[in-house]
Amino acid sequence: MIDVQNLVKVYAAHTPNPVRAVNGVSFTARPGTVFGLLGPNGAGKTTTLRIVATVLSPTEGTAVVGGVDVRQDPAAVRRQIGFLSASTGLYDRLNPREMLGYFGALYGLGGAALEARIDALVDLFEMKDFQDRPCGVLSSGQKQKTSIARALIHDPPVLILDEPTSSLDVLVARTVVERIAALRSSKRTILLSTHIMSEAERLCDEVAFLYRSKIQASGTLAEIQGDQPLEDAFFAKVDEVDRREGASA
Amino acid sequence: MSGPVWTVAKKEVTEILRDKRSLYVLLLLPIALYPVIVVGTTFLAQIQLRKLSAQTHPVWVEGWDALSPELQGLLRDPLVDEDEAEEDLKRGRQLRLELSAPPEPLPGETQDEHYNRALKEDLVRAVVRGVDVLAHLDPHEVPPIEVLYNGGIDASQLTRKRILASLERFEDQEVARRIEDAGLPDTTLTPFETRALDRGREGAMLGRLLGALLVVLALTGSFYPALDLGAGEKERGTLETLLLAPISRQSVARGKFWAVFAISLVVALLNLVSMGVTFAFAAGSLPTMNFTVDLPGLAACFFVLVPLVAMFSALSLATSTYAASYKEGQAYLTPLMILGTVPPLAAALPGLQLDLPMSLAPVLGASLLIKGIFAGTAHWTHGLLVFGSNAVYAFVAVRWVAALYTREEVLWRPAAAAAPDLLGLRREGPPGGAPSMPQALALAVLVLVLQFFVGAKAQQKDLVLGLVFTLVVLVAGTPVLYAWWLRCDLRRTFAWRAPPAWAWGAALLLGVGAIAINLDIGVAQRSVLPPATPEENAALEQLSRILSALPWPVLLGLIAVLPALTEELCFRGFVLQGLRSEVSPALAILITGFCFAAVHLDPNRFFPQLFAGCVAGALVVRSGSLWPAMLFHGLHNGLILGLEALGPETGKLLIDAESSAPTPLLRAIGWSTAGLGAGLCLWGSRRARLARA
Repeated sequence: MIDVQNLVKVYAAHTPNPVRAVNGVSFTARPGTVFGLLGPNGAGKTTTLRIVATVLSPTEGTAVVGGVDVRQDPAAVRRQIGFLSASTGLYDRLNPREMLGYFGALYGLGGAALEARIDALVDLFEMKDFQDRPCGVLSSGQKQKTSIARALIHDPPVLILDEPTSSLDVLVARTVVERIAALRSSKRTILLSTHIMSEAERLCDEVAFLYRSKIQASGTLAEIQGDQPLEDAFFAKVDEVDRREGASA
Repeated sequence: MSGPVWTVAKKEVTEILRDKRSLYVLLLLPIALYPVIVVGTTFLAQIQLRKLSAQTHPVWVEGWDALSPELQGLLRDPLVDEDEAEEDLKRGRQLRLELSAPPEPLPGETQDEHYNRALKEDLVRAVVRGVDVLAHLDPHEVPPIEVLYNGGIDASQLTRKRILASLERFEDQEVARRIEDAGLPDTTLTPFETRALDRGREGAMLGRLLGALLVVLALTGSFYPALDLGAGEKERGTLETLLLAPISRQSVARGKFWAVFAISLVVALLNLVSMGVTFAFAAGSLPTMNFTVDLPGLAACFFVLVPLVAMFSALSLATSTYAASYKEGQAYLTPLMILGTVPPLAAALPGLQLDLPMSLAPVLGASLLIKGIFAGTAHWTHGLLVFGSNAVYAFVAVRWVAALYTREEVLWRPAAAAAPDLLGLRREGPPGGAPSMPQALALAVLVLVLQFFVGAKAQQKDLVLGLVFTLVVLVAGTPVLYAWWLRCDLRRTFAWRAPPAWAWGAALLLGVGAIAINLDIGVAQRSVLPPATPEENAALEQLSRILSALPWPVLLGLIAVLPALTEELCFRGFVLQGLRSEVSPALAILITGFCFAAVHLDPNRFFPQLFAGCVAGALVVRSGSLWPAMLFHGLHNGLILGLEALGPETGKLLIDAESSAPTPLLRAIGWSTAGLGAGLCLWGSRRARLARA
């Protein structure tokens, strides 16, 4: 489970030009569900995910992953997380098998167990044909498959997906969405950030609109949508916030 | 090395070794370099000399047609000595000259203008004047013979050597004839013979250059791997993935450091092996390359290079980690490369010797030690000192890299960040805020340049008016104008707000106490660095004379009040506030202190000014206001004036006249007052922070 309460992130906090990227964000993502964090670029989605993944530290507030506070024991949090972003984060001069071996070793796996896990992921994602080719020469679909396999190397109970399809062509994006759908399980929590509403509609059980660094609405997909498409619900909320904040400014 | 560090290091080395193009440059360059130096330079020089010897070089001789055939032959015939063929070539003795009388100058052209033009346009290689005196030399006179040539043209230089060699031979013959005529023995002009026999290692001169080259290449060997592993990883977007692994960030940093260090050390080792093998083969076969270095010498060099390479690996990695992209990393590493190249080149110059302070100097100490190893003069105590000090620097540098990997503002700068907007042309975002770090550094450089080219000139013309102009217009006006143009928030940019009450007290105590500390720093600087030259002392005395003639209020305004207002606006205002947007407060204070000390253009007071600048910076950071720094600055400068105005009897109670060190009384007062001020500053700022929390 992921429990985020009153999360605040101020970049360059102790300088003359601070930037408040996340402002009092709270939500809870439960095991067995996909929680969608929806919003435009610059809304604070990536910052929120990076704090949950312990890559960034919060300025205020708490984030608890699987019962562990990100401030208390970030390494224990990271052991529970698989993180996938739009930039695949692959090393061009390593091949997919070496990538998986490297990250497996960093997660404390080794020997026959690691080899067995790599074999299983290679089979699962149909990577046999390209497992020994350098990542730099792989197609974008092959790269994204490798990247997902890398995120799953330690079989994490929490999966964080940061705009996983934003830089992919439409066919590869569809495959990735199908893969994500297949990763749902009763014990796994998936936190997905995206600005593609159709993806959210297809994958998410619960969603939160993040706009101007704040959660503007959250609930189950049905609660948020009502009787309109998710995209329309999102734009209606954005207009409402712009009117409100424009009026107060 | 722990498990995760080893895992990271092994993967990084694997990746670098798979980049074949870079690998060729890293590994093949040192292997090929020394043979190329030996063979290339020797044979290229010989080819050039032979080419020049094969040509015919036009020379004009005034009165050529009237010269006797004997004198014409003297200048024309090559002076070949079979036993010294190589030396003949170098001195141009084999050069073939085409001698003739000078042609008529162009209409309106003087003879001198004619010669100058001909030499400049390379129409003639040399012009000889006055050679006709050789026909009737008078033993009681020394008539001049002039050889005009163009020093910028090698062939002209060589022609000059060739003509002078002919004339020297004639001179020797004339001297021998006069001695014989006088009935004196042949040894009249050589009552004894002096022989200088070099008992040092052969080829020490070449060894100096090779030593410098070795250090430079060992240092630059770390640049590519550091760039790839620091800025390269950020640009490729793989850093985030790596930092998501459940290992500490220090482990990531250390793993990367070990990878850069391992590659760089291999490059350094290859340099040494290539140098040893090349000169072992070249010795004896090429007379100009008579440098040799034995196996223990090479091993000692490697011993010296290990901590040096470690230090540079860490510094390169840290610099590269600061950069958001590969291109930015290259831009940042270039100054580091230049800085790293200067000490080895300085060490190659004659005059610098390895002693205790030099042993502790980063890079320079190691460069001098390698020079000593090649010259056979190195001592093992110096070796241990150099190794130890560089190992400490390397350790600190590695800690710095590890600390950088814990700083979000360093790790998460956007890779596609635009180039610094120094001119404020983009005008992005709403107006307000403080300047950026590049803008702050640009201002510091601008003020330094203005001070050097405009301020110094203005003060030479009129000291008082020049000083006022420098401080008001250049030092204060420039940052205010720049901040206005950048649409900065002026209050923020210049930390212009009322300070807490404790800050006034801290500034007062620090201003009084810093005098003694600065005097001690000045004494320490003089004990390590060369003292002021007599010219500098004379200039200082003249300055004191002019200033002491001014009325007290004017002097106080000029030396204490005006600098406190203007310099603080510039440095602790614009520069410090700009730096604080991107670096830690401590580093921002230090960099500002350096800029402040540099702008004073006075190396003899560099460290005292650096210290005063840092104290003022700390006051601004702790209090959030520029005003206490202004009080500190003004008080500090005012008290210095006061001390100088004291009579000799009172003065000696506070300052030792000979060494300019503070007396125990002043030291006790100064250090304790400064300690109180620092304590008050820490206490006040901590209380304010707790109150905010």
